[in-house]
Amino acid sequence: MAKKLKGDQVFTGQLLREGDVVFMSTDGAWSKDLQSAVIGTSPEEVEALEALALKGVSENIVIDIYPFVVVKDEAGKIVPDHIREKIRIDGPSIVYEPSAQAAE
Amino acid sequence: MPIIKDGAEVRDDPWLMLTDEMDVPTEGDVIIPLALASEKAERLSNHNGRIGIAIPNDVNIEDYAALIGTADLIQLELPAFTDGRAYSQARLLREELGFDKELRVKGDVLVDQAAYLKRCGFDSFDFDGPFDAEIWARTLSIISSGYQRNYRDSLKHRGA
Amino acid sequence: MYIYDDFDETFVRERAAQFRDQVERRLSGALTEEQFRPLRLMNGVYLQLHAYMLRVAIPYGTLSSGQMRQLAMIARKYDKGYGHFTTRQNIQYNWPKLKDLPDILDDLADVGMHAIQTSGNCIRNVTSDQWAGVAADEVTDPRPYAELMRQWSSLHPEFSYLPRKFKIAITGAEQDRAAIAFHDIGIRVKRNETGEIGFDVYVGGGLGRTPMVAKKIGEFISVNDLLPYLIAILRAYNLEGRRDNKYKARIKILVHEKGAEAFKARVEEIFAGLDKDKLRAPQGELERIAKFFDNPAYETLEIEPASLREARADNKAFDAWVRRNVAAHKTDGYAIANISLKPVEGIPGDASAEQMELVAQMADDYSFGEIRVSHEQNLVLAHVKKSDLYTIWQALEANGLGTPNIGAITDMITCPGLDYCALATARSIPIAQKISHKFSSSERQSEIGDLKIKISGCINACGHHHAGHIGILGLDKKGEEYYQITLGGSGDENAAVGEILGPGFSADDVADAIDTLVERYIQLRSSEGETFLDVVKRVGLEPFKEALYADH
Repeated sequence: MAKKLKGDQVFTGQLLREGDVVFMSTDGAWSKDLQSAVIGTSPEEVEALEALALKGVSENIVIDIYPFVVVKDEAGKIVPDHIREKIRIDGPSIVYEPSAQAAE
Repeated sequence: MPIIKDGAEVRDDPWLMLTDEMDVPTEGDVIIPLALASEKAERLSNHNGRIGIAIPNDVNIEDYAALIGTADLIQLELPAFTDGRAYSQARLLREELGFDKELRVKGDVLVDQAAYLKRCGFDSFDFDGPFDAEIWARTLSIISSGYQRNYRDSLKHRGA
Repeated sequence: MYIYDDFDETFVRERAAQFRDQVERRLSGALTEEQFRPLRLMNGVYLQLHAYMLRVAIPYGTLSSGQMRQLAMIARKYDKGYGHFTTRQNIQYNWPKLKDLPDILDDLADVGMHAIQTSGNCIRNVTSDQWAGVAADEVTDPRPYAELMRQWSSLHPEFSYLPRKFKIAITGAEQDRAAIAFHDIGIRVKRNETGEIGFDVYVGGGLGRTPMVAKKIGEFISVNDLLPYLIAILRAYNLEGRRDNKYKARIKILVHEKGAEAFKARVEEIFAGLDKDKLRAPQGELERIAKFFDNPAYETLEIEPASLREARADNKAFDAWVRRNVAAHKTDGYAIANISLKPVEGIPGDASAEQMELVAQMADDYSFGEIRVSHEQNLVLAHVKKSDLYTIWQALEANGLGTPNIGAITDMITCPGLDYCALATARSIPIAQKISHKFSSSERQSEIGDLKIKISGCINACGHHHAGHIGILGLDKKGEEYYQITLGGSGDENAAVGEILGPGFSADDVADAIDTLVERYIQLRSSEGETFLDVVKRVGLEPFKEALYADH
């Protein structure tokens, strides 16, 4: 499934019941916090992570899993290297909630 | 590989699917692939038993009206549940060619599709399990009405 | 408008129960995601970038005030207090949870609504002219036929696993406001010399990565033959449409590869063989449906009330709104009030729950309790007295709904883009906001006149960029968003696909590029009446290319 990506990788998916975006942390647990994600730094590690992520799929916890490339910023935080993943993590880049629009 | 008919699993399906290498048996019910039908025509003429024909889903049904008229069963294919050609083939068979014997679908049948398949004229379903009679019955009856009239339609229609 | 009888209601409630059963089987693991996906899609449930998304059908864009209030309730109860009106007259919720979706479908069924076939490889929501039944240029109201097709296509046993999605649009007017030429089937209602109704049927239009204008294959098909003729087209497509490549599976590719004449011949061959009497609408059914679309109880009013003249003279902003947003109604003293969902720097097509409720109230007070949704992502009060326009405008204006820009440069069709969509390659909404900011002056907008900008955030063209007088397509170049500009597209009765101008622009430069094109147009036009599209047709792309790329 995964196409060959260059760089350190994290597995993401969405919760079956809720649809929320989650990231895989240790022992195949899924968290909404990217900072708790386990990073695969070699093809072997990424492959092992994928096997673990697929377990989440077969147990009907997550759907549509895939890996994406991350880097560490100056403060040591995990950040995605592509705008799509950045928006997926941060939410829409626009002010979209009516309450927030009213406050502007 | 359950075969489902009238909401239940058929325990002793009489139909034998013929392949290229097999000889036509002298008796018993056989399903013969359309591609082999002319090659084995002579053997079939002396055959003591019913004859079914398996038709691929890229075939123009109307081209085989004469052959279909002699068949005791037609089997159509659902190679993937998303490939809906057999639904139209079934309606052509039922509504235009007047085929009124057993119409079977073989392949990737999902329980959620069975009601649609039935409404297009299929009466038996051959697929890789699992088969759950309770889910099958519930899924087929959950929608009791329809906006379209179909072959041997058992649904409720407006005004009826 | 059409109101469900017991039959329709039972059907929709059973469909909701069916979906509840399917969701339960999915959550229990009895269904895999692969098996569940087409089932949820056929109930309008997508998995998007951040969450599930639910698309609710608003058949042919007509809904009641009560339905609109329920849409607002759903936005508040299960979502984040807003919804997004789409180019196919649907509404989308961006944040529902799968576990709540069966309850939402029940709430929709309570008001005669559903999400049936708003996605999936089946016949989608049938769309129409947002001014159907009231437009001054109409042969007849197309909505009885649209409702007949809605019913006929619902859970159609033969046409629910088509090669690809299938969209039908119908118009009864001279001017095509439903973009029928860009639909899988486009239907134009005609009336002959003897007063009979018939349908010209166009097939194989579409946008996406291979934009095509539909070809006429059916000439004045009779009312009685409408459903059998549609069955013949769909059957030809279901049997022969390509299934080997998702991007070549739409009917437009079949019509193109086979040739329109050969496709027409095949349809006629199938049509000839049909047992038509069994496939037509039941006797009396069309008449039953048509009764729901009779004119509401219009009063006899003066053509141009003095109060309207005075209010326009006294209030410049109101006058600007009337000029831009109010259209001619077929009945004296009445008007069509178009409500823009494109406020300056807002999100095109979005409405808050409060705004939906306000529009519902306006409909109850002034427009026979009925509302329309347009494919250009705006709302319409279709039967208002001219003497009520000022009161309506004041209420709209006070709630962010009074933007006077219908058909103007800031009335952009915009897909959700990378802010929401899992398929998008670039953002669309921020680009629309930048353009909206640049052209925010209503004086400047009225100087520019009619100009349709349409923005898509990927090659699938949900923002109809091919049909924009100016089209903008967002792409990804090595991780950066960039935008290609096309000129000369049109979605109306003179449908055309826009042509690419040249190299794309970064997100920061798009609005300036549009500004340059507009300035060039102002220089080139021979009079104020010559629209942007007229000028592009007259002078071609070269002068615009030169303006954009000369110093590059």
